[in-house]
Amino acid sequence: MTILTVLQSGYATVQDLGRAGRASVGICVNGAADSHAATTANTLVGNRLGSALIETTGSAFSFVASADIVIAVTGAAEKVVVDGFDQPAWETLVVPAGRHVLVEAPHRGWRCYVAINGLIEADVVLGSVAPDSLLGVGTRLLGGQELSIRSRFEGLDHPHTGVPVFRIGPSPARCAATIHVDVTPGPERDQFGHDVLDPPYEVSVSSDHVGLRASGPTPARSDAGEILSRGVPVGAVEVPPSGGLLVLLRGRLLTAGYPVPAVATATSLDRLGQARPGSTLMFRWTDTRTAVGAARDRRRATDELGRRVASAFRSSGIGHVLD
Amino acid sequence: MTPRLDIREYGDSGLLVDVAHDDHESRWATAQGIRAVLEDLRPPGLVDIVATFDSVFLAFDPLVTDHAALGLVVETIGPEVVSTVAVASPRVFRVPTLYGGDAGPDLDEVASDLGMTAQELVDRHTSTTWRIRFRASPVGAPFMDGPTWPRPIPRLSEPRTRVSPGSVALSGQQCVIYPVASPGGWRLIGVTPSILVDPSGDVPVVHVPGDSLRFVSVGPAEFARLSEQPEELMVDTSA
Repeated sequence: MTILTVLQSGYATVQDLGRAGRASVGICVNGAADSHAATTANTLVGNRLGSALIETTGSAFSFVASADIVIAVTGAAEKVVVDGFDQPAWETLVVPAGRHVLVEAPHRGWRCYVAINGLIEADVVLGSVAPDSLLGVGTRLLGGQELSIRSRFEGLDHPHTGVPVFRIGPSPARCAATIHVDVTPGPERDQFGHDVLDPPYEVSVSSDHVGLRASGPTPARSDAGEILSRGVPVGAVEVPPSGGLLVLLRGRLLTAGYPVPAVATATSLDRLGQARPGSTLMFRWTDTRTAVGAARDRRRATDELGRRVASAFRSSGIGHVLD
Repeated sequence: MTPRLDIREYGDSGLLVDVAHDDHESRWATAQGIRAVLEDLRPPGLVDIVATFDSVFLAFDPLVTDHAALGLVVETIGPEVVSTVAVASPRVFRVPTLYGGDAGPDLDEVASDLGMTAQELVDRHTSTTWRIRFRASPVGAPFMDGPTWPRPIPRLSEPRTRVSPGSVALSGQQCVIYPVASPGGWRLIGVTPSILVDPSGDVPVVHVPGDSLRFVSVGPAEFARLSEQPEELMVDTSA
């Protein structure tokens, strides 16, 4: 058993891809806000896409491990600092036991993902370790806390110095101050003007995992009719009576009665997971066919990355750590 | 008359099925019937089903299926199939509730908006059998409808950031119980000490669409007694 000791926690939790498939009992999906960064990190360390990993939010995170570990840090991270030396983010690293690993607070973007080869032990509720504030579950990490990791990795069997880096070379999703949000028309698209969502919106501080509150003009609706509570997707762009916009994220309530002029695409949702207070949102209209194509292209890229990781691990004699 | 289904794309990973029919009861039965059939069929790629009063939202994995394929599955579920889906022996649960005061801070205002006294509203609320139409957020909250108020009850324009667990709330013509602490914009009229959800269980929620709730007004002393040893929802044997 490898013990990972958290030194500096900031706001960090143990995450996975959440509780999909439980809407009929009123439980929402939750899980990693930037699922692409999370699945890429897991892929880079030879884990399954939905394995538990660490999500940091707008803060620095550091730790040491009791044994050699294989890690990858993705999301908003631009580098990983190991014992004071910069190592690449969005790459597979081997960190020897006892080295100090620091993920700095992001300058752009909001969340970083730290995947470690193996299984992180955390409480599984209804099939997931993901925090859910309504269920009152989740593992928030604090300084001094120890996490147990079951990994088959026992170090590279050739002599090495420093921190070996595999050059797997995925394309990092770069975070920017302005986030382009691709949207498809929602059920009430026709009740708003052609220029709805044209102006830029600013992400407000009252945003959380339930939804991003965006300040800017409140779109005028031509129909005043009440909408009965109905199911809403993650990504729905709502026009609440309090003004501005509310973009629903993975912790969203399952039903709502606000008009929905637009819905963010699956690939845009991950960019929204990197929105920080003050970020600018620029909406762009697209169609569902293009959006589905983008989601499929991205999965193909992740699958291809997984094949490169498997090949690199096998040729380095650590093929047995692949899950 | 056969209900008509209007199937629309709802984002790149969703479909919205609206049920059109003159009768409210038929719209609900059709929406819930579609849900029940899809839960049995489990078409590939279908991830989540949220069936409400008159619509069904389907969330799917766009890597596995698409709008056209899933839409076709819904279209081929004939109304005759749906009509055979009956709720298995619906139950009536008894819900002890403390009305007004700190437990129901909106009671007086909602009553006065409806042109009645607080007591008249409580009497109306407790004399009604509230049918559970669906379960949704937060965590299995039962969404019900019952009497027809003189006019729809508006939600708060600025939702509360925290509503206490067990809060009984009204909006439009509907009633809900918040099973856990959560944000919420519905108007609070009371609190029940009964436990509605148990996340640690395999079946976290006992009540199902089609069951009903009957609210019983209790005083502060009885409420305090029940709160000390809260129980799960009890079937109303007097019903």
